[in-house]
Amino acid sequence: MVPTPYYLVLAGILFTIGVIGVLVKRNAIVIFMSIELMLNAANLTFIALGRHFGQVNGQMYVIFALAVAAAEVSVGLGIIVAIFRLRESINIDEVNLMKF
Amino acid sequence: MAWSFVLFWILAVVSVVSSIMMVVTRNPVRSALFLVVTFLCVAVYYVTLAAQFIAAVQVIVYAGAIMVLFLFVIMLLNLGAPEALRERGTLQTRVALLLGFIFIAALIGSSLIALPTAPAPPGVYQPLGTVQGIGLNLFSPNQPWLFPFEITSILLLVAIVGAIIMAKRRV
Amino acid sequence: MESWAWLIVWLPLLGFVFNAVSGLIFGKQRARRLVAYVAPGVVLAAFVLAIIATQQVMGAPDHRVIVPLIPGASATTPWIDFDFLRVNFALLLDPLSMLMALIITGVGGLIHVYATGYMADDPEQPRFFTYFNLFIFMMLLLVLAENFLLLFVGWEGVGTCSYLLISFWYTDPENAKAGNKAFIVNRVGDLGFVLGMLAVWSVFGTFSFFTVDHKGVMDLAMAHKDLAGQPLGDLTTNLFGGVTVPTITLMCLLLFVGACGKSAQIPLWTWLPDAMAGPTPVSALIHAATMVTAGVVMVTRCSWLFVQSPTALEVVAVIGLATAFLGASIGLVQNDIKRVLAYSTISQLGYMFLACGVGAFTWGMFHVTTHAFFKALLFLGSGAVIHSMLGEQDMRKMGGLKKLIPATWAVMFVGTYAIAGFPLLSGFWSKDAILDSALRSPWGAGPILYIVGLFTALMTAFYMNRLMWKTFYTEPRFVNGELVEQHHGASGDEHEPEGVHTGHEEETTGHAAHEAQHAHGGGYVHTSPPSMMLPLYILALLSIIAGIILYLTHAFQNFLAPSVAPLSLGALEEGREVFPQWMGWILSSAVALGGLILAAVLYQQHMRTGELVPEERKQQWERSPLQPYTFLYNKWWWDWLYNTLFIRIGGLFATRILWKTVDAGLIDGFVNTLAGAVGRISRVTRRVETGYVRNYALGMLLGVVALLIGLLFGLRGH
Repeated sequence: MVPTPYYLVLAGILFTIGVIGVLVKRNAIVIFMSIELMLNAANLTFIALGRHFGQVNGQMYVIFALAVAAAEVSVGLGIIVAIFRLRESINIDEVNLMKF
Repeated sequence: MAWSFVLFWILAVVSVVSSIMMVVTRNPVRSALFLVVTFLCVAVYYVTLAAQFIAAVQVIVYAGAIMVLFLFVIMLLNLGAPEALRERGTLQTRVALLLGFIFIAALIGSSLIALPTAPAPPGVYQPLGTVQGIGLNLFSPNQPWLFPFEITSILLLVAIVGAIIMAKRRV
Repeated sequence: MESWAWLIVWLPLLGFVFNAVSGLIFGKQRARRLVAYVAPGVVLAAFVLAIIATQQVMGAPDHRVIVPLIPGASATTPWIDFDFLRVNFALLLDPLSMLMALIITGVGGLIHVYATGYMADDPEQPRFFTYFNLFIFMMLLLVLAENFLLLFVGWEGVGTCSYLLISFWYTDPENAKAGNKAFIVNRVGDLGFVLGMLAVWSVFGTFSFFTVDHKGVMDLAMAHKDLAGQPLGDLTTNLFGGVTVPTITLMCLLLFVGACGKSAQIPLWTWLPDAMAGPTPVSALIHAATMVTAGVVMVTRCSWLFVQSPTALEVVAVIGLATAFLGASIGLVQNDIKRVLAYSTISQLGYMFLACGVGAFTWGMFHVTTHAFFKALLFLGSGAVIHSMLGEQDMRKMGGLKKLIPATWAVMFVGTYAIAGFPLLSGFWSKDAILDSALRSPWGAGPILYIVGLFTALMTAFYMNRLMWKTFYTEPRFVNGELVEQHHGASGDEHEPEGVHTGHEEETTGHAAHEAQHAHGGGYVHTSPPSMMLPLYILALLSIIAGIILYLTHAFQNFLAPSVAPLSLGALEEGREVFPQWMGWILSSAVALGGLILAAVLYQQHMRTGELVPEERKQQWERSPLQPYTFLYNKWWWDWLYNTLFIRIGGLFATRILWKTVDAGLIDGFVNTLAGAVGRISRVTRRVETGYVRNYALGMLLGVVALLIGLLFGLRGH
């Protein structure tokens, strides 16, 4: 059996990659996908630790996280579509009305 | 031979590489596809971690529905072409990468802290991640999962309504 | 008596309220007539009550009664009731307070009657009597108060009424300024008074003069003890600079500062001459008979404290004598008839304080009484003169009035001789009693005090008779009620232009401008109406007989004795007799007659002009500031000094330094710099808000990393 820390480290790496994706990319949809990656990494952590302690709770959390992610994606993409309609571009750097 | 380790490492490499590619590539469609690969790898991980049901759900929902939705939107907005603007190595990217490295280091460091000792693996096989296992826990009145389960349905309803309102053309 | 004594104080207050609202209720015309009856009426009614009360006081134990101020309440109804201070709404009726109450209501009542005639044509007559009644109320409260705090209420109240009445004709800014000057200078004295009150409380624990259980300030002082039972002489206070003074001395001096302000002694006397801007009845009542004597009354009330501090007594006497001298000297050269009387008042007040300073409080109060009679007489008489002269107050434009207004002349004659100290008139007895006590001063310097006092009496006689000559005896410097030019060589000019003299206090605009507005039909000099003359006759009679009756029968002494402290209380005794009393009488008479005759002789030689010195000479003198004439005329340059010091320099200090530098520069600058700094800092730090979501996310990551590292280091410790 693969020791649990391996999974945790892997999840951490995936998470960081997702974070970097969020920070570096300017395409709103790609940023969104990076967020999904982060969510997945978190799910992986949950399941790994659930298996470590022999409980099913980890997997229960993941089920709900999954459902929420799905809902979130649909609404988020709706927002992106709306923004695109307004600006003809999904470069998030153009959404800077809160600039000083 | 510890085939589990081999599997682990192969999948690790594949998932990490494909997620890096997802971030690096400029074509959003290719990004989406790389992400699908990553999801599939993770699904296999779930199987190795005795979360069979979750693995199946992952494939069906994430790779099969969510990524499809992403691809629909990408196609809808006609973003197949690479972006015109190109961002050089700005302060933002440099700091982000730097922080990212630190972050990984911190995460690895925290992961290496000794975990609390796990209970001894049970002698008899426990149906942890099977459909019955999940189902029993989900619908059992003794467990706290029933209520969130019902609420999730409302959540999904809200999401549907929200998505429709967001994406509707102004009439 | 408990049940009605408060009426003495409340009747004038009710008069005040009635007069104030009469215009609203009854309409202008009826109100004027009603007020002219109500205002004097309440005061005279209070007088009657005061007489009855006095009788009852004489029958009380210790001749002292404490009665409630609030109708229906008891004498111990508290106004302030803390465990460290208890002040009651109570009145103290004893010989001193009843004497003053009688003077205030009696003389005050006569002046009210006079004022009904004097102010008859003034469009604001109801307002006048409103203030006048209020003043009587406040003054009564002052003299009848059972404790320092109520006294202070009256003290402030009379100051306020003085201000209101001085600037009665407020449309002329000069009058308003005079009112301000009076009030502000008074205030300076009040500071000392309040400090003195606090000293009293700190030593005796109470403000009450006398209490039923003998714990009042004076009760304790009589026993030479303070609240804790310590002997009074041992108490000392540490001032700045490591100087230690006996507490009793400090207390008395502080209280005396207040008296200086109220009674126009050095250095707070400059307001009194300017106060003549008010109507003449005001000058008579407030600035002659009653308010200015409040200081003397207060000092006498505190006689038990003063006799225990020889230092304080010396200060009081010296300042009193110096003020007497100062006032008389300035009065020698004044041209405005009311100003002469004002300086005369200052001078006579000095005599009263001289008396207190040598421990002869009784004679000080005696002079208060006789002075009230003849000074009110003189002021009211001068008011009659002014009234007859259609508002002219400058004596240089008078003359020959003896034939035209003989009745007024007669009463003025009586007043002049009374104040000069002509033998057998009231002023003679009181002034001589003071001089005699001064000669036998318990702390030394008797002969000096006596000689200076005597010289001042000479000056007094001189300037009073000078007034009489310039006003009545010399040839008229006007024709048929119209004034003619007699000096400056310009003949035929009717009215001398105002303000010719360089900035002196000759302004007669107070009354002249006012009186000139209403002609008395024809414009010739005429006698004043009976409402004005009758009080004059009564006061003249009193000026003649009061002295003999009260002094020779020892009635005054015996009456007042329970209210004043004997010298022996302070381990003092009168100095040895230098010469027998009848010699003193002869000396005083000689001086008085000498002054009167000297003035008569000198002015006899200048019947036409009424001036001893030709005008050109005076102009010459005015050019050098230290010429005796100029020096005296400009009030020993005292007003100039105050103006320069406080108004000019103080004003410069306030503007340049306090306003421009400290307030605008420092304080505003500090606040503005602070605000500017905030602005500048925020202009830099707001660049964080780039508007890019990615930047914000980066910030979040930064925070998370920091937290994580911190957590790791924390856990590594385990």
